[in-house]
Amino acid sequence: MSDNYIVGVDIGGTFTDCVAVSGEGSMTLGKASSTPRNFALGVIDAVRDAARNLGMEDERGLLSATRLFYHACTIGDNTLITRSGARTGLIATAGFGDTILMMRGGVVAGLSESEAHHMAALTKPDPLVPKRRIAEVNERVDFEGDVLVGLDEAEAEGAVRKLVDNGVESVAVSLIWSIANDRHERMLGELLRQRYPDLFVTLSSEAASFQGEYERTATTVFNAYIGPRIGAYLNDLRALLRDRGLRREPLIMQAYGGVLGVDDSVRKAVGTIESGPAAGVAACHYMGGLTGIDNIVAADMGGTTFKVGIIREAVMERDYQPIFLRYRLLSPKIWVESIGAGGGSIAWIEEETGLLKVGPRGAGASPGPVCYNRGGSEPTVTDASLILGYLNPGYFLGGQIALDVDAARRAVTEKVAAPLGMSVIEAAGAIHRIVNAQMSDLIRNATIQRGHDPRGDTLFAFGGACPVHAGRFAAELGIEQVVVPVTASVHGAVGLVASDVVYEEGVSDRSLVPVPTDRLNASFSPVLAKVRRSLEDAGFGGDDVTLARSVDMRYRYQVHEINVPIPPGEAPLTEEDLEAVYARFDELYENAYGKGSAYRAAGREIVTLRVTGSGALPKPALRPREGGGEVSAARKGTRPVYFEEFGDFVPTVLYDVARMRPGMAIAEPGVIETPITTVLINPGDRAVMDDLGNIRIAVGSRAALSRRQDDGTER
Amino acid sequence: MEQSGSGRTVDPVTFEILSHRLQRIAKEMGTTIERVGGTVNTTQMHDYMASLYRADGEILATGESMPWHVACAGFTVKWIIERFAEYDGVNEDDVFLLNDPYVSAVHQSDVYLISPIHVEGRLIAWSASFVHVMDIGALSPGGDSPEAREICHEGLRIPGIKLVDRGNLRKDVFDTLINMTRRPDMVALDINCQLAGHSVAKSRMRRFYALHGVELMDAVAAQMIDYSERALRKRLEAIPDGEWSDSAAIESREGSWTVRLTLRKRGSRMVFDFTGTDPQASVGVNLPYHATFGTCFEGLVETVAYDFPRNHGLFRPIETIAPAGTLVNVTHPAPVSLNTTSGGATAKYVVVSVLNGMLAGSEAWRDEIMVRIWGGRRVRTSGVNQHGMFYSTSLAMSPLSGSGARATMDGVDTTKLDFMTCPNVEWLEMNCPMLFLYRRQAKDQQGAGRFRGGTGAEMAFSVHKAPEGKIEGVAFGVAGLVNGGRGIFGGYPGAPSILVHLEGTALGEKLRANRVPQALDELGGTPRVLPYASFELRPDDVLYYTLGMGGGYGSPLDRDPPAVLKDVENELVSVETARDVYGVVIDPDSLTVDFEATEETRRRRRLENRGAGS
Repeated sequence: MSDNYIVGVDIGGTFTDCVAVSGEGSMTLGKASSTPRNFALGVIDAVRDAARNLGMEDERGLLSATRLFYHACTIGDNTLITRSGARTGLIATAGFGDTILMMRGGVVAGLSESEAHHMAALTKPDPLVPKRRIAEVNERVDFEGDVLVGLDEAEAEGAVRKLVDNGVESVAVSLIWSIANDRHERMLGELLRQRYPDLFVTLSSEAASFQGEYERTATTVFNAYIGPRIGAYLNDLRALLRDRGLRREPLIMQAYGGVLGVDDSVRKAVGTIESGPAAGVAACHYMGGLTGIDNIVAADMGGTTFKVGIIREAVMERDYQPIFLRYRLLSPKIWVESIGAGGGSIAWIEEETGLLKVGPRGAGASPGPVCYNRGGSEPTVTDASLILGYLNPGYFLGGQIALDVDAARRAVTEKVAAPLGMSVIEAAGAIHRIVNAQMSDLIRNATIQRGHDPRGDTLFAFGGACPVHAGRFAAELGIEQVVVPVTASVHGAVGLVASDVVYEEGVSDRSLVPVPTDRLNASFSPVLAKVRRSLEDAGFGGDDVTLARSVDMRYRYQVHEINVPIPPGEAPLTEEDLEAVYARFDELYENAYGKGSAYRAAGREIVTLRVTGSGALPKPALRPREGGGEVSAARKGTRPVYFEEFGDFVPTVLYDVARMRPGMAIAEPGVIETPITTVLINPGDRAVMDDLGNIRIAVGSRAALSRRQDDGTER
Repeated sequence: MEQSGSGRTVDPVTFEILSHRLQRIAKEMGTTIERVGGTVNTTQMHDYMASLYRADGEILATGESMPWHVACAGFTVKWIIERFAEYDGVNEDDVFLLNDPYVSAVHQSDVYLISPIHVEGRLIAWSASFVHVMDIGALSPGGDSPEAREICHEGLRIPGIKLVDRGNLRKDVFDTLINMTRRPDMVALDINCQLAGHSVAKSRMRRFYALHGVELMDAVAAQMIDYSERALRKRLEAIPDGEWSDSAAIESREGSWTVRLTLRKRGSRMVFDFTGTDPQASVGVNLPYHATFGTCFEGLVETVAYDFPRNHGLFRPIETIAPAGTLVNVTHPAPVSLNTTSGGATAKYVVVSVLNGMLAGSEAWRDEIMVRIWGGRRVRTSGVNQHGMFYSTSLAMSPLSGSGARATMDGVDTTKLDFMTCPNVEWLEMNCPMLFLYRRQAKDQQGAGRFRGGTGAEMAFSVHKAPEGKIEGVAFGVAGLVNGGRGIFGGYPGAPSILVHLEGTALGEKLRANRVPQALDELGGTPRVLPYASFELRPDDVLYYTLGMGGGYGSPLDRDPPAVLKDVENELVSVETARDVYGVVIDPDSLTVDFEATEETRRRRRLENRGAGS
């Protein structure tokens, strides 16, 4: 029995979730309030709760029997949002210290369209490194890596000293063309580490060895800014866990999927940003693997944000140039688009046109929707859901918050229904229709922008608000199946325990097609070696290790690139392999932009080489549940619920998810209540629980589908 | 609910949902162009347009397109309807190409593609796009031709041609077009990305209209336009009436031309009257009428109508008067190739200036006043690059201009506040035989004021590993040569954009001595301020370039001293400028404000000003 558990802990805004999977594959949950002053305490509390649910006395019992401990660290995100990072300095090539301040003249990245259009109110974000902590050194390397002006060590020492005198705790070094020749960056790195061993040092050629000095510098600076904070937290947590009996190295989630040990996670701190949402997509990937679903839209809707990710052909879609806090970084991550829409989005009437709008402003967690009775006065989507009967006023979040229906009705009446001359029900229904249309538009836009058409995919709906809306916007997207995963309440934590150790490295290396194979193999070689070495250092070898190469390609002169995977393996690439890569690129390109969009005459080029190395970790094996019984056994009552098809409330059966068994099906409008969410089954939809306990909804009959779908079904 | 144009009413919820979806289609069309496109203008600078029009040519939805071009393309669609109705007809799946500035383009480099969208054989809408192509076969590579004296020097000029006939690309026409340019492969990519955008827009629109019904969608479309119009009129009615005038001159070695504008606003109607503007020039700074109208439209949607859906409804309250044969309404055979960065920038500048005048009279809108950057110098380079290939690219640095001050806050440093971004130095050095010595924020050149203008960038580059031993360049852009934009309410003007060609510098020597020069006086050489001209950069030559900076708002003597100190700390303003211009005395060693000395200095300066004024 000992050493058998796999434990994952995920910190959310309100709760810290723990899942413990036993050697036999049974899953036990633990929950505790998050503790923003010291998140590590909440982690221990959640583990303790899980241990007690297992019948153990406290966390020691579980931790000493844990063989793998996974964790998603939110410190980087919090540090950035609260601007509480390390006092950071930057060393740049003389003449280019302002690169990070100028941001290539851009100011709208990461803003909504309406924010971007208001020129008179636009500003740049406050810099993470102010001008007085930017030091320039006289040196210059050119695009081929030739040293035009060597680094003057005496001058470099002076620059470093100036920063240290300025009290910096962390230094980012980002020199022009360090990706072509990193000699000067390494010299500065050695100098810093020798003279000032306490400083946290990040070199751009290590943090993001990609062309483009602005984005590379931004990535380096972000790493420097959050690294010391993440280091302090993770080292503290590691000691605390060890003290409570954990004998293994905690494994930390990376935003690109996969986990790394504490030291690597600190060194590559920037890789942990948004690793929490990535874990949500990873959980869908894992559940998709168990259920044989390869094409997934992962949708997470909470109170304030709506997040969407994509899995296509069992591969999680990635973003190689994500935008964080309006800066563009070169740090690969699982692609998750965040949209400021959720249960808290506010419904309002536009003064000049008298039109009903929903969002983008939201009530947030505080004051929250009107029905929370915490001082909110603007009607929100959650208020509309309550009025329409979708939420149980006495069982919201498992009964933690009592919802005030009358307050919600008053607010919707006053702010929406009366000005539009509608009834309060019509107004609430209108709010739902608009927000559902927005979600489907935004998902479609975001996924199509990634060259992916969501029609025919399966939608995984998780987060508190998503299962209420998913049936509707899935239908609008041409999605025929919605899955509310059995793990929805601890979805992120499940994503953690399903992850492998993954190292990911890349390098800018441009060459025109056809690329000589020996040249490409020679360029890949050091990257492969680096990843393999990292895996060996982490204790992986033999069959546990998978290395996969990929290349970013584009048609010549274009800026936008497509990542083309190469089948896993390390053997030198042959002409045939490369031909297959080129053909795959053409195919991916036309898939993304339509037939005939590829202009092959311009020529193709490879711009970036990437290597992903995984060290396989045992996965939790979820056991199928026992099925059987009539769904009536899960009935917990009825409630009037509004459906737009009927234009009115109809008595609707409520089901308790805890009493549902695999095979039980609901083929009429209904509501399934769970401790964290409500699953709404719309007319024409059919819900069934599968072997693992997931709720699967077949969305609409064909007729209903073609009626509701806005743009046909052909792919 | 009000009656819509097609006589049908749409409930507000359906309207909200469907109109939102139409906007998204326009945006998706633009995204496609950006991703398939091949030139810096398209892929990095957002210098493209993708928008949807109703069957009659009225603007319907514009995505994130440049409003100026959205307006011009409105003329294009109407022209195509008129022209092809006569003889050839408009058929399903046709695509038309047009770049004639005398008809509806801005200058020949801006190639418009226009495509009808049919559902069940019925014309329901149009899609339109433009891309600034890499070359158009003009006198100078890249199109901007300072030496051109008539439009025939400025490359091919197509008043409308069928590029795609009923879904079939006319390969003969396509090949003919690209064959007349210096870079057929690149121009092909520029056209192809537009075709991809049209194809996306068409398939989305067709499915969408078919699903919801043409009648309903047409009613939504009409109503979108009505809503924007009504909302704008309502807003204008609440702003006091009046008349505001301004003028600005384009100055170049070839001459000086003044744009004069009076805005007359009554109720919800605005007349932009350019009467009094100088006769058209013999160099390509002239604007066609529709482009002048476009500057008025753009000025409006960037100020008082910034938050309304951008469609034809915002056109309706505007009238533009521009006498023929003047700089703002060019007639044959005057050239136009340089106009975006001269006549266009200047017209736009005076448009915003008079609009600021209008806003100043309104309690509700006063705080939205924003001083505008006037324009600046531009550089296009070409030749053979280090990889042995011909290249031609705009340096595309204008996003590093400083934006003007606002009524409640400073202008923003190194940005034009739009969707554009400039290329990385590493991108330029990888693709062109260049070596940058520096690219940084310039000191002491912002328009001073209670709120100061934004800082622009300065940079210097030379030739590096060029197979032909040189870079060929074209210097253009002559708006804002005197200053980067005037200040208002006592604010100072910002420094102008300049281009200096330094011949025979000590660069090579310095590099051999292990030093990258960081200032002009380190470089030496013979400086020549570049006019509108082609030039050649040879080894040891350096091009020094600063971008324009926006003007200030209010007197610099009223600027909060801690704000001045912050500028000094950030090395944007020197201690001397802080004292001489802002009247703020700062100790250079401790970097602290001497408040007493500051008060005294400011008091004295105010007295001097009063004396000077009497």
